[in-house]
Amino acid sequence: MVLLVTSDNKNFVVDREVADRSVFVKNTLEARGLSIATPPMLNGGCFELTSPFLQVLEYCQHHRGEPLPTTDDANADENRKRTTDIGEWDRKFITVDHEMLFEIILAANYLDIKPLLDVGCKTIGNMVKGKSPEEVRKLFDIVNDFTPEEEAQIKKENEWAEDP
Amino acid sequence: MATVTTLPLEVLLLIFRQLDTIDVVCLGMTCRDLHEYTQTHPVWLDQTQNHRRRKMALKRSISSPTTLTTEALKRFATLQEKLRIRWTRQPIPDNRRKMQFAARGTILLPGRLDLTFLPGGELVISIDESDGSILLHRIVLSGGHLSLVRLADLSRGQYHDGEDTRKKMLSTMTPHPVFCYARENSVYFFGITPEGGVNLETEFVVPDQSKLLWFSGQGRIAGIVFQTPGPESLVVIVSHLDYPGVTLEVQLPPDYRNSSGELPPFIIGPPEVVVGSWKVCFPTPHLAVIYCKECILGYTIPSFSSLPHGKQRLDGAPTWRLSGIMEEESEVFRDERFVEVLYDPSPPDPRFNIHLLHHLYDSNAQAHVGLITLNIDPSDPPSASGAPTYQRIVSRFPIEGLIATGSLHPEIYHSRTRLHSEGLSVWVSSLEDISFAQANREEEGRGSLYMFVSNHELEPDLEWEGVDLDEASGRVFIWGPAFRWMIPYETRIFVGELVS
Repeated sequence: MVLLVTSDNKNFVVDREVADRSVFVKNTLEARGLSIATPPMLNGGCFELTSPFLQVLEYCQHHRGEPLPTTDDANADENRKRTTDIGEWDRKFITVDHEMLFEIILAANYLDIKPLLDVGCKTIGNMVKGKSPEEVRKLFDIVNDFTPEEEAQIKKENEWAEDP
Repeated sequence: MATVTTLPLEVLLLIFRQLDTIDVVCLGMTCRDLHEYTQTHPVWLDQTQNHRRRKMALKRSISSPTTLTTEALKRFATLQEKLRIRWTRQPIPDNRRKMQFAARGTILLPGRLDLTFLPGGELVISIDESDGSILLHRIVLSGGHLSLVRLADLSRGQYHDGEDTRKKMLSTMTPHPVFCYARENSVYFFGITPEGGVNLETEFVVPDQSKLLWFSGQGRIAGIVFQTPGPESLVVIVSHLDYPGVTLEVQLPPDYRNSSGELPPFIIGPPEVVVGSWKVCFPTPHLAVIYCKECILGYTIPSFSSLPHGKQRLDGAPTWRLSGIMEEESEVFRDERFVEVLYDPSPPDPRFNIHLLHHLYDSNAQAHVGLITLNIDPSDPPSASGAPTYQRIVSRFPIEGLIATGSLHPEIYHSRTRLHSEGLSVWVSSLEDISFAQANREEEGRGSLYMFVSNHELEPDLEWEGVDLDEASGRVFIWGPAFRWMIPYETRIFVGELVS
């Protein structure tokens, strides 16, 4: 068993097999013993890990025992590229609100859980596909910080991309 | 609060990889952060396979110098080079010839002295119109001052300063510059070595009142085309740095002039195509010269429109020669608009394919496309035993209803072609301000020919899955795995039926 501590001092005891789904945790355990490093600092604030971490744990427990992707897998990058297929369980798992989705992606990136990171990125990709810039802004609450002149210029440069 | 704009760059890149290029562009148009990233990240630039979008990204990236990456700079340099090359491919009307000079390094000084800097920057040719002297100098930097050291006098007699300034011409070429000029009725060629020596001096005499139509040079070869008075004829003079030039006089057919009574503009395609050790250049629209830059043996391909159908092997003496041109054979092909060269870098066989695409318009404004394919075997260079092996395949495609009008995008420089393996051939080519792609999908012996002209560059390496025309919406759909375009029909689409 492994004790994992999140940034808000919540303790989680999980099987080693589950913990090892995270390359970061696996390497840390192998190098330093049964503790976790300080959570990452992002955007000037402490990364609130507990909420997405519960999700991450659920993912790791579901996929425990599955072979981990290896860095020397020649097809790994290609498999990660332009593959929109998401498994049924993963699709339901990742069906969360946008904020949680991004938190899970950040957690997966930090904990180095590539399959989960891919699921998150594919989900974002599927949401973006075929949408206009305005639709993407609306989807993700992105503030349009272009000046009218800048926006006009960019639109002009990308007229070809805005065909319906 | 985590959102898409707060994701680390490596995560954004993973998301980009899930998207089509067009979606990434749209994502980049949402806000400054994403826009900057999509325009400057070298990995993103690498992953896109679309040349047009890559170029656009580079153009935008240079507007933000602080975000330039080494990779982006490198790509921009390449782009600049391509654009420069494209510019020099432009047909140069008489009133723009001085622009061409300037592009090639000539500085027109106030007064009557012109200086032309030869490649390398150390040699300069001066033409003093006041006394007709033409001198070769070396530029010397000494004591903080520049000075000119005279190396050779290229003058031949009194320089002609008549009204017809087109008789004065100057051309420099790389890597072995050939200098040529015309005076009175004589044309002179000089080969100038990098050290400033003159190793070729050739003089040709042309008839009085001749009119210069075109001149140029490529590497070790230069050519001049004159139109002679009286019974109209063309005089083509070609000189090679290592071989004496030869002259060729060709009679023009009576109906050569167009309805306005003017000669067709001498619009030439890319002046030179390099395929391995072979080069193809075009002294006139009707004459292609192919030569081996290593063996310095050349062969000419006569009038495209006179080439017979089918494959042939052209045998000839292993020496530089020019053969007849302008053997007009058909009343249909009177007004030939332009010829362009398409080079297929990945032909189905190991030989090189050079496609000469011939655009023809007959007297009824019906358009035709002629295609000559030269299959050149690189393992069979010219030798003492005979001519190079190449095959000429002539195809002509009358295109019903073709209407070529409109103002087109100038930033075109592709001149390549790709032959699809599944009966769909796609040509992506360009000349002047015209760019077009043509998909020829043959079905049971009768093909449907879709042509369109777009202000978007097309990536010739893309695998095209299909072309569909939706007449109801007026758009052409071109489908591929990595992109999708829909081009407005009403402005830039040509549609026709492939008859033959």
